[in-house]
Amino acid sequence: MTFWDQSATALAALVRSREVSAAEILQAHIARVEEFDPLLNCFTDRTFARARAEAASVDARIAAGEDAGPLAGVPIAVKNLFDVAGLPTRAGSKIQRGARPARADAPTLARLIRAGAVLLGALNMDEYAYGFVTENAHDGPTRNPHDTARIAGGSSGGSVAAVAAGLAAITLGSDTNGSIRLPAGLTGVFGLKPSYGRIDRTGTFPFVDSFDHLGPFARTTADLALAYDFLQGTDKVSGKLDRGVEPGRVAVLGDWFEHGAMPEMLEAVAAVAQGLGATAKATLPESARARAAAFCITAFEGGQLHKADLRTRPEDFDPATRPRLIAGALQPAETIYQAQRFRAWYHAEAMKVFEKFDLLLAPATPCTAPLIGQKMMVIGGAEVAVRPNLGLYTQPISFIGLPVVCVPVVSSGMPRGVQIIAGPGREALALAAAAQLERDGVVAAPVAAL
Amino acid sequence: MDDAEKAYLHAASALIDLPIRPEHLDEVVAAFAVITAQAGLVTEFLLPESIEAAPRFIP
Repeated sequence: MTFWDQSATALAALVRSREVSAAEILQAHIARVEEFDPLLNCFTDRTFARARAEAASVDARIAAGEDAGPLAGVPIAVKNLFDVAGLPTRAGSKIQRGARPARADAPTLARLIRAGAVLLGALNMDEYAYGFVTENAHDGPTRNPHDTARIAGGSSGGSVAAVAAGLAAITLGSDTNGSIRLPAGLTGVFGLKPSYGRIDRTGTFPFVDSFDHLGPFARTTADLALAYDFLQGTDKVSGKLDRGVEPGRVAVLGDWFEHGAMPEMLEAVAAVAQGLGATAKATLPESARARAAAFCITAFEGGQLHKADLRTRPEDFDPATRPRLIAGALQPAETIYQAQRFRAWYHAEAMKVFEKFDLLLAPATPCTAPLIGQKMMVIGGAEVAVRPNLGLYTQPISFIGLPVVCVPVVSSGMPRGVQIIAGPGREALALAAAAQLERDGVVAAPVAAL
Repeated sequence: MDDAEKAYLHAASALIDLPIRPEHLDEVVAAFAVITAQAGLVTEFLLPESIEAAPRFIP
């Protein structure tokens, strides 16, 4: 029996029923990491000694007849901007790896550990989460398990590649402008970006206070919902996955969210729409401006956050990050004030759309995964830079904090992800739609063939 | 980027004490040009006077 290709729910069931020990499951995943991570470059820190102690604790609790938790023995890992006790929280940077090691796990990570999970380590990302490619100048690129010449996306690149490759059953990431949804789409895993403010960000390295979100990745909707239950602690969504989705209340987003998308991405959206019985189209007006406003606020808040280091040690930043942070910090106040006013306006417009619809559909990315090192791509007939344009369809949504499940659509070729977008606080509905599509075989996240 | 924007960039850099090293100037100018183009989309849009900025201080 292999363990690395099984869901977290299945692994925990094996451990809880005493069919397999947590130690055996852990060892299978450690072997998988040691075999494939030199190729993929997901992990920046390995915490195997800690994981062995946690697995032993799970096995001891089960031997004593205690409840070891719904995630008993499930191997997990976290983006390296989460605090992990004993490790510096590097946040993809050279600068922070010299910081004092974290005294405790981030509360989100601690909740998963209390539920029985074991931590394999911390995962690669774009420096300070400011990117969509995880081609980190300090730690190297994370490779896409479905084609190792291609990017895994970012900024949570290590997190998605680890799940896609069967190195971990669940990982955690963050999303400021698309950093959960975009890499999930490019590597063919499920990702959940909850509503803004829904998950406590304590113990994680910040990027843009206005837009930062945390969320999980998994290979099944049941695992995604289970992880989310523990991350936010009050809404047990895992028990609501069989609720029905009303087809007439689902719409495909047009205009901005179609413009420039490659045909295979539009086909993926159409497959999800068909799977949910949706035929309507909807428009979020002025989404190009929403994306622009998110772009400006991101550069400004990120630049201000790192101003002291930009002033004294700019040479230690990733060259891909540094100029955007400096330029962002120097923006006039008018831009940021108007961008935050526009955010209120755009949110109000979106709420009008949600009076008519419960769920909105859009591609996660305009294309499938570009090559590592690729600088330019074609969108809507125009040649544009890869790095700033991968997030065209994710940025307007995180700008107003809406919950999204990114689903991997079954298809040939490279993975393609679709955003299932719900109104604020309605994560359960988006997860139920994803679960319905999974039951019907429209979406799936098998471990990549390596 | 036009001369006025370059002049603004240098003045803002001096004003908030965020120096731009000569070897980083070209890349920062390029990044600022991209941001300025995006900012134009935001500032040219006429919002109703009743719209308040999204972050609100709650005492």
